[in-house]
Amino acid sequence: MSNYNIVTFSSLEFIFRFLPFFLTAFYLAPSRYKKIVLFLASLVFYAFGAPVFLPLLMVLTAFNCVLGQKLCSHKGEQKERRRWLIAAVLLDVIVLAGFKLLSASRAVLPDGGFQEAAELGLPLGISFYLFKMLSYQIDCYHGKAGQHGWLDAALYFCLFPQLVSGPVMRFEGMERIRWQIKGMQTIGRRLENGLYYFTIGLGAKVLLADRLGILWHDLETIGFESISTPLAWLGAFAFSLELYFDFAGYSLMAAGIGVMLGIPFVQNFAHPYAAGSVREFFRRWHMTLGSWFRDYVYIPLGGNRRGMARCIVNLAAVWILTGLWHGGTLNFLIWGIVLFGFVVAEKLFLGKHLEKHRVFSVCYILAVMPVTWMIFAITDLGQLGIYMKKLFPFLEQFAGRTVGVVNTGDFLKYIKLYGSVLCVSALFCIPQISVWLEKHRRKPVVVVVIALIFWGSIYMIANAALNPFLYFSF
Amino acid sequence: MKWFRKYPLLLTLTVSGLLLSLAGLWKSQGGWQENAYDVRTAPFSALVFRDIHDKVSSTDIEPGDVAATEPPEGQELDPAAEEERKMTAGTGADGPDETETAAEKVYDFVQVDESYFDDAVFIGDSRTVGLFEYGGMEERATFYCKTSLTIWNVLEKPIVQLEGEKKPVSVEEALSRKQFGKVYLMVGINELGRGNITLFMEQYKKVMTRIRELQPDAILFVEGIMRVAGEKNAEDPIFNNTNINARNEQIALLADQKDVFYIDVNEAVCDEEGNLNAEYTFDQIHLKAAYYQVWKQFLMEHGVVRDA
Repeated sequence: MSNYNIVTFSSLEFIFRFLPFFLTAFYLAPSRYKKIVLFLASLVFYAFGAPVFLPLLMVLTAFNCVLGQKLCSHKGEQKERRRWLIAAVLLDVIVLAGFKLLSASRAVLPDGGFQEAAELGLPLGISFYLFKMLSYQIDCYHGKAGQHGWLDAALYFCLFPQLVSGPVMRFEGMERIRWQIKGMQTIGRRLENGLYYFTIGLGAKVLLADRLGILWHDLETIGFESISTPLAWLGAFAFSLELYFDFAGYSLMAAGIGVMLGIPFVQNFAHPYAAGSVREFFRRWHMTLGSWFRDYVYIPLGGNRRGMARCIVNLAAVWILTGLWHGGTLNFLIWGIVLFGFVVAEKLFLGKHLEKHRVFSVCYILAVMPVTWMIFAITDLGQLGIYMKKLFPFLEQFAGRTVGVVNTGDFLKYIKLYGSVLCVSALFCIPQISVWLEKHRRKPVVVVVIALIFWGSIYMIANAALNPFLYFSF
Repeated sequence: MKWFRKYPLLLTLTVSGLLLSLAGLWKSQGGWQENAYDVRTAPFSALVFRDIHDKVSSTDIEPGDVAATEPPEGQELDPAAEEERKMTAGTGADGPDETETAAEKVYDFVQVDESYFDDAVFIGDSRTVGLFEYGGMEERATFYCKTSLTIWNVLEKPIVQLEGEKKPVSVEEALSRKQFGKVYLMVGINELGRGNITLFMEQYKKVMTRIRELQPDAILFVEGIMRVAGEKNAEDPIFNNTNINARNEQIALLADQKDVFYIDVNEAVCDEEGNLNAEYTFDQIHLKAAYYQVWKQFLMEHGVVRDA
C-alpha cells in the first residue's frame, strides 16, 4: 500500500488517480450523500498514507464527536459542561503531547514496545487534526459550533485536503460549505478556481521549493564546519525560501482542492517576507496556526488586557507552545524563545522604529528570519552552534574555532547553480506579483503560463517517479 | 470561445492533458511496457515526459540506458564487445613489449609527497569533484570531473574548460592535447543501476585502452569505487556495497603492477564492516568536506615511482 504515494498532493498518484476518481464520485453523488462520500474518501486517503495510524484517527474522531455532541446539546449546568470540556481538552492534549514526547525521545528509549512505537514516528497529521479537535471542543463549549450532526464533526476532523498538514480550518468553515451543486456551471467554476490555486501551489512546491531543497542538502553533504560565511548565508536564504514555498505551496494546493469541493478558500500565507516586523511576519505565516494560538491560548490567558507584564507572560506561553508544536527537540524550544524575544522587543521599543523606517524593517526581516529559520532547521545543537559561527564568524573568538576544510570560493559555485531559482523565488515573495497574476489569470497568455507551470511540474514529478535510477546522480 | 472565457485554465489543461495522454498511449504501444510504468500510479502523459527527458539528456545515458531497459539488445552488443575485449587484450600484450626494459619491472606502492600530483590528472564523478574542491590539491593536480559522470560518457562529455577555449571540450580531447605523468580514474557509482558487470567492464576496458593511446607514458591508477555508508547499503537495492564490491573486483583485475595500478580508497574510509564510515558522510554517499584529507593521505601512501 505504501507504494502508492497518494497522501502527497504533488504526486502523480494523487493528481491523476485519486483526485479525478474522487471528484467524479463526489460530483455525481446526490447532495445528501456528498458528506459521506467525502468522509469515506478521506479515510481511504489516510489509509493509503499511514494504515498503522488509521485506528488512532478513527478512535480520536469517535471520542471527539461524542464529547462535542455532549458539549453542544447539553442544556444542563455550566459546571457539568465545563467538566466535559476539560475531559475533551485533556484527552486531546495528552494524546498529542504523548506522541510528541515519544517521537522526540526516540533516541534515548530502551529497546522494547515504546522504542518500536517511537520508530513508527509521529502519526501522520496528528498535530493538525488534534488542533482541529481542540478548537472544535472549545467552540462547542462557547456555543459557536451551531447545530450539527456527528458526521459534520467527523468530516471536519478527517477532511482529506487538510488532514496531513493543515490548514487548521475552524469548524465554522464547515457551515459555509455549499453541498448543493446547481448544474455544470457550478462544477466548472469550482474546478477553474480550484485548479488555479492548486497549480500555483504545485509550481511553488515542485519548481521552486524542491530545487532549493537540493542546495540545502548540498550544504549538509559538505558539512557545516566546511562552508564559507557567504555560503552559510546563501544556505540560510535558500532554506528560508524553500520552507516558505514548500509550505505555502502545500497550503495553496490544499485550499485549491477545497475550492473544488465547495469549501471556502482558506488563506494560510499572505506574503510573509513582505512583513515589516517579526510580529507581522507571523500574522502572515501559517496564519491558521497563528490565529489558533491567538484565539485558544493568548486571548483566554488575558491577551494584552491585563497590563504589560501579564501580556509578556502570555506571549511567552504562546511562543513556547508554538516551538514545541513544531517539534520535540530542544532547538524548537530555543526557536520559540528567540522569536518571543524579538516579539517582546518589538512591542517594547523596536516596533516604532521599524514602522518609521521601511528600509530598516526590510533589512531587519531579511536578517532575522533566515537566522531564526536556521535554529528551526538544525535539530542537533552542536551542528547549530557550528552554523551560527559560520554565519557570524566573530563568534569564533568566544566559542572556539571550528575545524573544517573551507573552500573560500564555494558560494560562487552555488550561486551559479541556484542563482536563477533563487531569483525567481525572491520575486515571488513580492506581493504585487501574485496579485497581478491572480488579477490577469484569465488572459490567454497568463493561462498558457499557468498551464506550462502545471505541465512543467508534472514533468519534474514524472521523471523523478519513472526513472528511479536517473535521478540519482553522484 | 464563450466556454474558454469562462473556464480558460480548466479547458487548457483538459485539452493539453488529453493530447499528452494520447501521445503517451501511443508511446506505451511501442515497447515501453517493460519499463517501470504502472497504470495505477501514473498517467499515460507521464510517459511522454520521460521520453522528452531521455531525448534531452540522451548524450548522458544512451549506452547505459539501452543496456538497462532493453536487456535482449545487450546480447546483440556481444560480438562487438568480444572484439573490444580482443583489442584490450591486444594492447595489454603488445604495449609492454615495445618498452621491454620497463615492462618487465613490477612496482610496489611507496609514500610520496604532494608534489607527486603536479603532473597528475583526476578523472571522475561527484566524488572526484569533492576531492577537487576540498582535497587541497586544486593548485597542483588537474581535475577532469563532473557530477553524474559515468564510464559511458567519461570520454565524450564536454566537461573540460581549457584555457583559451570558448566551449568546454571532452576529456578525450583534453587528454590528447596534454600529456600527464599519472592518470587517476574513479567512476562507476552512477551506472550501478544500468547494464550489468560484463557491459560495464567492456566499456571500462575500452576507456582504458583509449586513455592509454592518448597517454602512452602515464601511470594509470584505476580507483575502486568508493562504497556507501551502512544505512544506504542496507536499504538500497542498487546503490549498495555488494554491487560496488562486485565491480571493484573486476576493476582490480585490470592492474598489472607495471603501468596500471589498482588503488582502493575504501581501505582508508570504511569501517570494520566495510561500509563508508558513517561519521565521514552526511548523505551516505559523499565524504564530508573535512574527510577528503583522508583520501588525499591515502593517495600519498599509494604512489608509484618508476625508474627513470
